[in-house]
Amino acid sequence: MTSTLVIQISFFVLAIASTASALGVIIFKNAVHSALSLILTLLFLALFYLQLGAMFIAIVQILIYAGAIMVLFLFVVTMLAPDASESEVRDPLRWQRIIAGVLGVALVGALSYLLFTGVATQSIVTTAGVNSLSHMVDTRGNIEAFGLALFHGFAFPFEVTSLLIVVAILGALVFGRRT
Amino acid sequence: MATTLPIFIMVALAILFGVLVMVITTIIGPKKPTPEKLAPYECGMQEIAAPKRRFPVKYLLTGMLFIVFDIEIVSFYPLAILMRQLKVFGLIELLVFLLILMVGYIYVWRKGAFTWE
Amino acid sequence: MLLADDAVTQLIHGIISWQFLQFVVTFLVIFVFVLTGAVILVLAERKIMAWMQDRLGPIYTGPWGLLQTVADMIKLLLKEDIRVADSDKLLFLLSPSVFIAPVIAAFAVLPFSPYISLPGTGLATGIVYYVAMSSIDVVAVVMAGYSSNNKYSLIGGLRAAAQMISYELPLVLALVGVVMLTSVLAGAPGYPGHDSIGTISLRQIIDFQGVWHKTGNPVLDFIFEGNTPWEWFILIQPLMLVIYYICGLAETNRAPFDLPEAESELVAGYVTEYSGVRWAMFYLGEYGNMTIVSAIATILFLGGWSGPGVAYLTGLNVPVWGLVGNLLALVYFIVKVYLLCAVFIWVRATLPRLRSDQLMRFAWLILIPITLGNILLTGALFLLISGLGLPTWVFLTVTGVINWAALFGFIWVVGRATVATTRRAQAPAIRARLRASTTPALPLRDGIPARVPELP
Repeated sequence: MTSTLVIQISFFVLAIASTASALGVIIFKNAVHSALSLILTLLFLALFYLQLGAMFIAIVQILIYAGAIMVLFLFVVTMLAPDASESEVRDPLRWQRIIAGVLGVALVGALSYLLFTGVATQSIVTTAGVNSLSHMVDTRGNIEAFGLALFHGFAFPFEVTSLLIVVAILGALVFGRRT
Repeated sequence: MATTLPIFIMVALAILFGVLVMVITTIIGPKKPTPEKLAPYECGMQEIAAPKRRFPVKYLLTGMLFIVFDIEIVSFYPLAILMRQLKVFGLIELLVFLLILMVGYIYVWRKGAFTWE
Repeated sequence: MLLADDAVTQLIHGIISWQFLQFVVTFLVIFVFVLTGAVILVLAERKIMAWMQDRLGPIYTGPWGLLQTVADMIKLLLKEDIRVADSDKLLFLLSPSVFIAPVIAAFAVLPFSPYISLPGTGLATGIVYYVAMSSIDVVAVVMAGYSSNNKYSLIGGLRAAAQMISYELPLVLALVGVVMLTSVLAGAPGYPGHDSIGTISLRQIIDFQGVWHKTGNPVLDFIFEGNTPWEWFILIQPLMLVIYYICGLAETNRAPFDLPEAESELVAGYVTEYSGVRWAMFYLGEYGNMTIVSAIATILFLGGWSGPGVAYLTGLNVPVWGLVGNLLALVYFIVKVYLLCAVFIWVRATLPRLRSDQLMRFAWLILIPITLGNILLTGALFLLISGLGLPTWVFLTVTGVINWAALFGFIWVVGRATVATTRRAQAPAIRARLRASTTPALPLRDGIPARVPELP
């Protein structure tokens, strides 16, 4: 089928682009450039959602992360001198890199194990039938399905999220005060 | 469900427009740069110091609060759409969510996030 | 359904279809609207402000100064493109494009007339899509400010970012009320939608404001079909329209919220170092934003393209009358949008600039609590009234009455807050004057004070 071919091509183009911009986040020396690269990555993620037909989630992705990145920006300007971050400063925590490398390899291994054995596709959420989310999306549309899932199926996690956010605010306040 | 293709094309055309105008201007505009012309504007003075150093931004806490409320907004729209279906349950759920967030809001307010002098 | 499926079917089967034609027409209308919109608005702004200040405004270029902005555009196109020294080259060159692209993309959600709106479209998410696009603009502003290697630009950019994200919240919250109303009305006789599920699609929200049950009398049907001003949401949620409009002013950095480009302190804010077309892009974006804010307000609160004859003529299913109906709709829509834009200009000519502390407090301590309160109130009222078994129109009337009362309360609160914050800011000066008046008069020598009093 041509359509599956188009899907696959667009998926791989998006995948390469998003991976490249994600690499940019850690490769750029200038912190502002990294932040912008992160925005690009998140926009590509939004395109992934769009490709899956999830318009609302894609838009929310743009909406929230563009805002969140702004905060990162302000952090950079407030707490890092852009010039100092460009110059090569000797890392005081060298051992971190080794641990990060080991953990990274472990994560890639675990993820590819799940991917190739197909464990990850057996979701706890019902993927077929009348009560499944995909059925709801088809019959009622994107936002309605999202809302019903959020307010009926996942009501408790939704409430707990607010608690998490409050904790995050307090943390930010503490760090913001220190400088 | 509606197709997302027109949106894609529209966004692509918008980006194309932005880039195209920029390319055109580099082609047709004159180019006679002099060091004075390229110097950053500082009311006709010599630049005292470059702005590339860290300086405190008062809006950091505002930004933090923005993320919180942004997430809240996103959950408001599905709720508003489904308002009649969710009935009292939805409203109570929303109230609890709001109350918890209000704790953070008031705390940050009391800590002086909204004072700018 | 998947994007690529649609892509293939559309490309193979329907490249010369009705839908494709519709897309091309809409696309042309959008671009013409964006590009001429800026030209017209700049001229209108200069002329209207000139009248309000008892001046003539531009009069030399063309008859009655009409070609002034066209001449300005040509001049800007031929200007040298200055790239400031020691700037962050890539970001500096990119940020005007990043600024203008989301503005144009946001126009994609606007229904200009029953026919001129993007076909099919994933625009079931109209309102949120528009908000997401305007949030990308913030990134462009900070990019411009950061990369210019100029203190004014950097401070202006950061100020603009803080202001835009602060006012984005009440802007979005103010629109939730309208969505709630559509949820209440959906599925009622004559209304679109089903299963009492609301909508955030701009197209459908217009339909919600133009429900007319045919009477059979052709004159009445001609005038009122799809054009029922007593159903416009401005009557039910006037306070939300006002708040949305205020936030729109702040989002577009227009007076009295133009602190990021306050000439007297920040030169031109984040556009200080830009010249020629790059500068023009920022202004094109700003006027585009102004148009889109007005357009969204028109659609959500003022019935969009509804007006006498539109729905009747397009409903006849005769191509010629359909064309006339669509043109009428386009005219009604554009007239409404430009009337709202004129209010933008009026506000600019009337109000002085806010102080930055007033600006931020106004968003966080007044607008956000009010909009949140409106959402809770609307929800609670609906549950109460439907719980009592009363019909929907009771709910609409009660909400409308409360909202109109709240509008006057809001004006009172804003007045009080302005006075109070101004007093607080002036307190040191007032205290100093009081102290000066209580000190005894200085001895005079030759008719002038013997010594100059020390400033407190």
